[in-house]
Parts: sequence; C-alpha cells; structure tokens
Amino acid sequence: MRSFLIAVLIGYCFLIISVGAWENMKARDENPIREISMRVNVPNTVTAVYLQVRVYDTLFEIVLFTLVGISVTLMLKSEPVHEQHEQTIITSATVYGSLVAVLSVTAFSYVVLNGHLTPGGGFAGGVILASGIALYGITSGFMRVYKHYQWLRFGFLEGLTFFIIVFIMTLGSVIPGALEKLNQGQVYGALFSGGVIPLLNILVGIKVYAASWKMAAEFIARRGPL
Amino acid sequence: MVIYISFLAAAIGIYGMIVCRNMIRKVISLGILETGTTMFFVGVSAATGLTAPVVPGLDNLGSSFADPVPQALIITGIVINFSILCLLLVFTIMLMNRYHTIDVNTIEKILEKEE
Repeated sequence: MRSFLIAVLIGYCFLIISVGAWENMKARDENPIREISMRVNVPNTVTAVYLQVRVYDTLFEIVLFTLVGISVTLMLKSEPVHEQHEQTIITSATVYGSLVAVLSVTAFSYVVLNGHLTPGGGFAGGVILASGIALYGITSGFMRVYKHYQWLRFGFLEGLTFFIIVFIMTLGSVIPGALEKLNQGQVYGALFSGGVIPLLNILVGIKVYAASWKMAAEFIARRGPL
Repeated sequence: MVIYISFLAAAIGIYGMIVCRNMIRKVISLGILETGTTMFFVGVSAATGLTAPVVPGLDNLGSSFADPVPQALIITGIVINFSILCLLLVFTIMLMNRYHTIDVNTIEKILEKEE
C-alpha cells in the first residue's frame, strides 16, 4: 500500500511537470545554431558550445571529475584489496579483449581528433578508451594493464593535462576574446581548424581516460568474490 | 513522445530509489533516472529540428537542425551522474565490508543495536 501511494504521488508530480514542459516546448522556436556557427567557425556546434561558448561549465566538470577520481582512490584505500593471482584468465577471451583494446585506441584517436568536425569529442573518446582498456584488464590480466598504466605515467599525465586544460580555458577571461580570435580565418571544416578546440578535445580525452581507468582499477581491485 | 517516455523513466528511477532496500538496486534506479534526464534533454533539443547539429557549410544554415545547447548541457549531467554513481558504489563497497549486507533496513537495525 505504501509503495502504491509513493508511485501515485510521483506520477502526479510528473504529470504536473510534463504539462508545463510541453507548453514551454511549444513556445520555443529559436535555434542559436546560426550564431554559434558564425562565432566559433567549426561544423560540430555541440563541441563548439561546450568547449568555447560555455567553457566554464566544462572547466568545472573537469574539476569535479578530478575531485571524484581523488575521492574514490582515497576512500577505497582503507578497504581490503584482492590478490591479483585470483583472477581467472581464459585465452580466447584474452584474444578478443586485445582486439577490442586495439579497436578502442583507434576509435579514441578518430573521435578525439575529429571531435570538432563530426559527433564525438574528448568525453566520448576518453570513455571509449577506458572501456576498451578495462575490458582488456578483465580478460587479459589486470596486473599487465596496471603495469602499462604506470609505465606510461598516466597518473602524472592526468595531473599535467588538468593544469593545461585549466590554463587554456581560463585564458579567455585573462585575455577577452583570445580563443575566438584564433578560430577566425581558419578553413571551415578542416582537420586543423577550430583554434584550441582540437587540442582541448585531446587533453579532455586523456584526462577522462586516465581518471575513468583509475576509478575502474580501484573497483576491479576490490571486486570481491567475482 | 520522447519527453513523456523520459518522464516515465525518471518516475521509475525515483520510485526505485525510494522503495528498493538493496543499495545496488538504488544505484541502478539512479542510472534509470539519469537516462530519463538525458532523454528529456534530447527531446528538448529536437524541438527545433531533427538533423544532427553538425553544419556542413556556413551557407547551409537553412536546414532544421536540432538545438545544440541542450545536447552540450547534458554532457555535464552525464559526467556528474557518472561521478555520483562512482561515489555511491564506493559507499556500497564500504557498507558491504563493514556490515556484510547491502540491505538498508538491516544496516539500520544493526546501527540501532550498536547505539
């Protein structure tokens, strides 16, 4: 009975909200795409919005992501870690895992480098790479992947990319209009266009990959009876 | 239509978060709520058009493109939800290690006994 009443209450609240939302939806007829395209000069306007027009949103998103990465690592430090030799490895799964890892690296490169031209960008690329590498870790031996992470110094790279991102994104407030001036005069739709947007996409991709992988690694290390 | 399905998904997510006693189910419900929110923003962006907001040329702005602003905003929502899910899973691992259960009612009873 209690669950039914909760369901009815939630349904009623959403009915009221949805009627209001529908009215507002009908009232909207303006699309800012023309203004954004003219101003930022890149084909993918979604990337243009979150890396140039509303860059502070993305900046604080990156800050939040960094903080969560640190929090997860610190909070799980006191929890017991499972021995790595407990991991079961099946050879055929290792082969497929390796294939997926290679494909994810290729997809990461494409999505990040063409983020300002086609759908994609740093966030999508970072998540693709982290998923591929996590799958490789689960199928091919977690210690192997962790050694690669340490050998490539991704922990250091993550911190470095964070500071470069903060520097570039705050440049707009130190020198007003600096980032937009870089975009003007570049060939529309070319790979090397869009000012700092491709660079930011690469940096965000590395940052998201490193932080997601670090968090996934902490969870895998404390996976329990799996 | 997408808007109404998104509201339904969000309602199911909130209901699950309130009613479920298992922490993992609560986390999954939060995921469903987040999916509903993403769908809502996608629906809102489609109000101005259904073409993806990737403009092939500056002289081709006449087509009815989807609004890019809600699509860019929802990236923030997805990242924040991912962060919250990660933190919730950390809390679940901590609760499991301390109380050997993830049932919130049982944990509450254990805490009452401890007091």
